[in-house]
Amino acid sequence: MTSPSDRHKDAYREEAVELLNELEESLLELEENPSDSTIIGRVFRALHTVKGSGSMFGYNNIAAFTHDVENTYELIRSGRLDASKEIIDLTLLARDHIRILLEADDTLSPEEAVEGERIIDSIKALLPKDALTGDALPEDALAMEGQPEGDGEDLVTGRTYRIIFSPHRDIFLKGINPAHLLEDLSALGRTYVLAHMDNIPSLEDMDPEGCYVSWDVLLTTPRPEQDVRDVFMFLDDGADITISLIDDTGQIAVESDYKKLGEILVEKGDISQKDIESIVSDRKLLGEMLVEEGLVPGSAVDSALMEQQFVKDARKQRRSLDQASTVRVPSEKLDSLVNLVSEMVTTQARLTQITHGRRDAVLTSISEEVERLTAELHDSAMNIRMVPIGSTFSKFRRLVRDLSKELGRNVNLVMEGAETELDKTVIDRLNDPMVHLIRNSLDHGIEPPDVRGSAGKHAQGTIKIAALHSGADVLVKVQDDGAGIDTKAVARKAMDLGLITPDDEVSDQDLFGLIFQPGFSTARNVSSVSGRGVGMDVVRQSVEGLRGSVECTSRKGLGSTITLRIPLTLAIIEGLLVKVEDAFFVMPLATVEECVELQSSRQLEDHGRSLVNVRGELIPYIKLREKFSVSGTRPPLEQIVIIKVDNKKVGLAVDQVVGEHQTVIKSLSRVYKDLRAISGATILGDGTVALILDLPRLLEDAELSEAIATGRETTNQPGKA
Amino acid sequence: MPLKVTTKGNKTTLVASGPMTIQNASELRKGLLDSLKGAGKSIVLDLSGVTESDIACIQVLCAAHKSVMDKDQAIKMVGQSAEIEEALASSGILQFAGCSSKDRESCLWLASRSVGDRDLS
Repeated sequence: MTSPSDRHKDAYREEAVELLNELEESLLELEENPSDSTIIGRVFRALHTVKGSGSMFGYNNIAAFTHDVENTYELIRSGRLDASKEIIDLTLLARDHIRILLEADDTLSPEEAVEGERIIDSIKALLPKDALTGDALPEDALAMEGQPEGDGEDLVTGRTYRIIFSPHRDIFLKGINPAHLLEDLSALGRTYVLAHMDNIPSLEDMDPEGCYVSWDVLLTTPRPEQDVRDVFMFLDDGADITISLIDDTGQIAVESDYKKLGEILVEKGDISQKDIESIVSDRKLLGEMLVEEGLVPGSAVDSALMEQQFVKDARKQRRSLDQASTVRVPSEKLDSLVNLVSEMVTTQARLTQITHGRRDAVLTSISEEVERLTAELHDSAMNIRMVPIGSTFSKFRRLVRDLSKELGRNVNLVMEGAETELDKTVIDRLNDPMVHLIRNSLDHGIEPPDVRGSAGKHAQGTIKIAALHSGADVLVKVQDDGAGIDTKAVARKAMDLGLITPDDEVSDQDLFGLIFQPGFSTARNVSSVSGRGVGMDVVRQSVEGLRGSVECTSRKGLGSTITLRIPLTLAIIEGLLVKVEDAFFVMPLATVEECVELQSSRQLEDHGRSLVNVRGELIPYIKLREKFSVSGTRPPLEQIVIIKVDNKKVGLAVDQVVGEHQTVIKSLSRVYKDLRAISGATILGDGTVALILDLPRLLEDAELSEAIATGRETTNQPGKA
Repeated sequence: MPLKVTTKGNKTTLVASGPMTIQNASELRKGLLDSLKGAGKSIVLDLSGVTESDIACIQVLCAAHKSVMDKDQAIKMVGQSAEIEEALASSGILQFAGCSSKDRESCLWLASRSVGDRDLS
């Protein structure tokens, strides 16, 4: 069980990560428009909140570090300093440093601490001299904008109460210190306390042990009214207390602060700002007039004004909260929901199966209803996990910026389809492959500006990241207008690695496929960015781990496009269910091209390969019965399911094609983690387990055993399952 | 709670030190009454040595302020201890803009905050 303070810390960390991401985005925008005051304001506020909440939750190092950076932006905001490239560079470094601090729970290794100091010193070196003396910056910097101070207090929302606390004269004699009660009230939420001292008589007339002060307290608290009353529980008759609710969250907020009359008139051009000001400056405020006339004491006006401001602030905060009326849910909860829904889908399939056998009209109608509801439930549960891919995209802006600087490239990053939604888990796992691809495009793709110039291209290269829907998949493309892939170089490298022989006739498409092989890199120099030959291999593995595929197209001199095809979700797939003896197998329906009968006239054996003739085309096939060592005898007529993986058509020989199956994927336990051809399991309607085939691995294994088989001149090579 | 009084010509200086709470409120009132009787036109209050304070004694000082104002004397505070600041803050007095609606600027506490420690020199 986490303690409340841990929960608050977690909440702070989450919020800070978001703020830092926003900060990064704003800084990159600021780089484009260094004088845009809106962006400067955004940067400043992000820093201010990171600092303020940081110190509140005990992240003192973060608060101290951020303070100096924030000061810089205060200077920029007030026009005393320009948002130069150096400052933005340093702020980005500072942002990364805060991120490190945050991850390390506010502690730093000595080297990191030195790095932090270096950043701050470099920033300070850029500040005007007079700005360095003392704590020159106004603490109310934010207050000038009418923002609540970001000390975490502004997190408090709830109802606002007005508490009029008038202690009786003898309260001190009862051993009660009113200040303690005020402290108890502050502990409940955000308070504003105002003391009325008008009743204090002159020294001659006063009883030094009597209480002459009374208080107005405004309290915004999420706690119930009873908690507020309980503060005064032990007071008995010691005081008069009036607690009234003056602002309720439940109420629909009345837009009370629409433009003032003067503002509207000026806006419409009916009167000039100057005229308004001269009229207004002559006019006395209502409060002043009332006090002058002696109708109310000054403190009463103060109290009323304070109340006005306090409620306004409370409403403002609530509105900003309402606007973002989203609920944060830990992803484990979502996972468990999806898991339950998956179970539900399985159970519902059983129900449907049983109902079919009963011929009971009532049962059938219930079963159909359950089927419909389950489908809807499944859709909604999956939808909850969907997030726009744009959040990942925007991270790449920084990557492209930093890398192009490092590599001396001039690159424009274009993003399309950022609103395309994908499963959260998928998006998280897409990050690394995308980083690899973008690095690759920058390093191998986009040429340096002078090279581009002499090739007749625009000096600025373009990298486009795009996401779009394609059936049950999402296509994520990384496209560049760089040098493209040199097919000759790829072929040379492939021969060096023994992947092809000089006699092989390999299409360009197949050559591009080779770049995803382990250890494949045509870069002459290994740079820090890429060229170690691990990148593309890792990309393929990660994408296949998501049950997706990767494809490359390129034209020399014009650029390359890498396309990742990713399933929308990881939890459920449309599968094709097949049967070998008593064993069931499922393969993703998307990979299935067609199903044909395996007539003996169509079978061929060639160098240990089983081939089938499908309308004149010879297609190799794998006998699942042999592959998985299923006992029993082959039926007279087998079926061949033709699948297409990595642009290769392969057949799978099975006893029977059962049909389409909505497959809820269950992962296999760790015991089976070394199984290569099986990616998971699913439970069928009647409770039987079906294994889900990992087709790319199955094919790799088959190619391997085929090579061995060819060597041994035998066709019966038992596969490894 | 010792209260030290020195008068030089028109100027009377009152230096309070030690705890200044409800326990000492009567003593403080009496001390102030006595010293104000013979005080000059200008009274200076030095509270920098106060180690503890609460609303009861703050009231007494406010009352003294009122009496002085009634007699056309002037009183101002120089030096204030952190303990007094704390008592003022927790009692909501720092939000307050003066006890006398006629002359808000004269408030002991507010004036001392804006003038600060410079007057000590």
